[in-house]
Amino acid sequence: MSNIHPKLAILGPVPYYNITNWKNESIDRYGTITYPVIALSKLFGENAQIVPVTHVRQKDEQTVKTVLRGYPGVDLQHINSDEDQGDVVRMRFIDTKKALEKQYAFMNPITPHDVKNLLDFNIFAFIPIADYEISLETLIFIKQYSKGQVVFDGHGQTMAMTSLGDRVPKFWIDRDLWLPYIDVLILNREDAYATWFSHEYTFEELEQSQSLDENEQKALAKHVLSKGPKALYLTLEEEGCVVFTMINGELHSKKVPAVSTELTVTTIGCGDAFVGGVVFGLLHTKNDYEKTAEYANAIASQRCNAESYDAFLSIEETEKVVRGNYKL
Amino acid sequence: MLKKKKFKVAVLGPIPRDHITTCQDEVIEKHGGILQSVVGLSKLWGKDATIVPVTHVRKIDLKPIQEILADYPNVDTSHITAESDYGDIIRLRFLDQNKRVEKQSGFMDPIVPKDVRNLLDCDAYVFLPVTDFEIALETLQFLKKYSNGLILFDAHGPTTLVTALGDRLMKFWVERDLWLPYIDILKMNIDEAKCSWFHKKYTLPELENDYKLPIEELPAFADHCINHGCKAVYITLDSQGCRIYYREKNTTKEVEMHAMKVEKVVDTTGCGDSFAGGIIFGLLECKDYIKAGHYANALGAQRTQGKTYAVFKSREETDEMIKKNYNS
Repeated sequence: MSNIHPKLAILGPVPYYNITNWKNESIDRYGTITYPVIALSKLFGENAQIVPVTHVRQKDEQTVKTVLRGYPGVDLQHINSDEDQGDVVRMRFIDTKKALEKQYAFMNPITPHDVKNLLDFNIFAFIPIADYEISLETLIFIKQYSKGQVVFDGHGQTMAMTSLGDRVPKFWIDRDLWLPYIDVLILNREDAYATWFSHEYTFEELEQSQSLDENEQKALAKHVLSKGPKALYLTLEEEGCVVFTMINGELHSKKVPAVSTELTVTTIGCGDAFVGGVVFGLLHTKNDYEKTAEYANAIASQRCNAESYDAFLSIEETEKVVRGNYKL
Repeated sequence: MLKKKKFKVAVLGPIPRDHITTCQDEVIEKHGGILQSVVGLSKLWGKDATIVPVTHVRKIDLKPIQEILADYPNVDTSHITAESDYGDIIRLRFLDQNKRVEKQSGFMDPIVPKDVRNLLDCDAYVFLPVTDFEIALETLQFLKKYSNGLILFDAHGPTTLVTALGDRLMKFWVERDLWLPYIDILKMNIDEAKCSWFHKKYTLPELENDYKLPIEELPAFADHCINHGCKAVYITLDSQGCRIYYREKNTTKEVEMHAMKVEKVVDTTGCGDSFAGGIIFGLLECKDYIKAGHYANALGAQRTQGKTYAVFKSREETDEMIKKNYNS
């Protein structure tokens, strides 16, 4: 690890989740950016400044700060409740992966005002879970005034909340307005489908297939990488991920299998932890995108292995897992 | 030398290929969206104005749309483009005169600053999006910075989403306050007002029962919009007419305006778009919010009288309608 003392902003909601898992257990917790924030704290200790940037309800502010306080390197000054708006989400799992989601309160968007004092940061990792949470203006502002890398999880732009409170997947039609301001894009299978839309569907098509085949994934990657991002990570749950890059004008893809785990305890927050792993990997490997995928997989699997935040491991323990699973 | 026209007005938004099933089970196939407003304004102004529709359509739809507009010599079709071959395709099934189930299977790429950079001399810009991705906020910001034209914006777009299954559903306009500083005249219906005047938190039963926004809450909502930059807010109430809000002597004034009486309603599709066109006509010609409301209601009423563009009338005929209904 180099001697730099990295400054990392993790931006997005800290939703208050009411979860009923597939074992019918009820869990109440604060989620999303809490996972990468804690994962990065465990990895870096005091050797990094980790700043969660979020808006929460006034009633949640102290509890959220209490959850994060005590983790080395975490700076809580950009958690605010000025507008008294924050996400509240109910999830009812119907199997280990699929959940019916309802949302009945919403965070006010993150705007340039929220990041104006963070322009010297090394990485800005955006992890929205709905389409209104990050304003495009914020990404444009960062690109204009900061040298920091922008990591963006596309999940937010492919999810919306209806006026009946249902959280539903949506197409990311204005995708090309966002891509020039993103350095590293992360999508899961469903997000990828919603990001690579056709010129026209039949109504039967819309109601059937909801995933991309390998050729369509490559076409999506080629498009994304031609618009600004330098890497695209497509996450594939227990199969790991595929990292797409352009090398000498040619699309290059590499599948990086998941690290072996004994038991998946939870899938909640695994994608968020993956983003934390990408942030760590980019810094640790100096933008070796394929090697970064190994760290991202390792940190996502730490999250899947236990319910508590303590599941995240130190840098030494994480290195050991990576060495054990991937060739050096 | 050609005589300079009195006004130049851009009308921006989709021209969807609509497939409509009326509540009498009749099927209508036509191109809609901004065409209603464009033709309505063309008829009203005649030689006194140039109307510029700004839109993106599918290549297959370009010629039929140009053919429709060829009948209107004051319409400049140079900003209807099919470069990216994306355009809206919508199926509507009416359950009663106003309620409908909507599906969308094609999507216009967003209108961006590049689309309006040669239109900075317009006297007004009428934005009529029908889904949340069609207008980039950057476009409004660009116009506010470089043009003196009046900006009218219909909230139908930001309160409607398309799911990945093609369902068109209503959504909350959570990022509303990012848009208001760039809108002069905000127009919406009562359902859209509900989605724009959201609470900080809901109960799930409230959301699931599709609660209605009480009309008594409209003044507070309009006041909020005006405090954030709007000059006037028009809220339509179907057959009950509309409410108009504007600032006068430091207070927000509310005007209740009844709808025009029509003997038989044939087709309500496009009434909102026609209404918006009427507002701009009235504001540019009379510089009066109430007279603008008269023209808005007149165009909305004309729209209901048939299925073709022949429903729209000249200024003289429209003034006669206004005189009869509002004694003005």
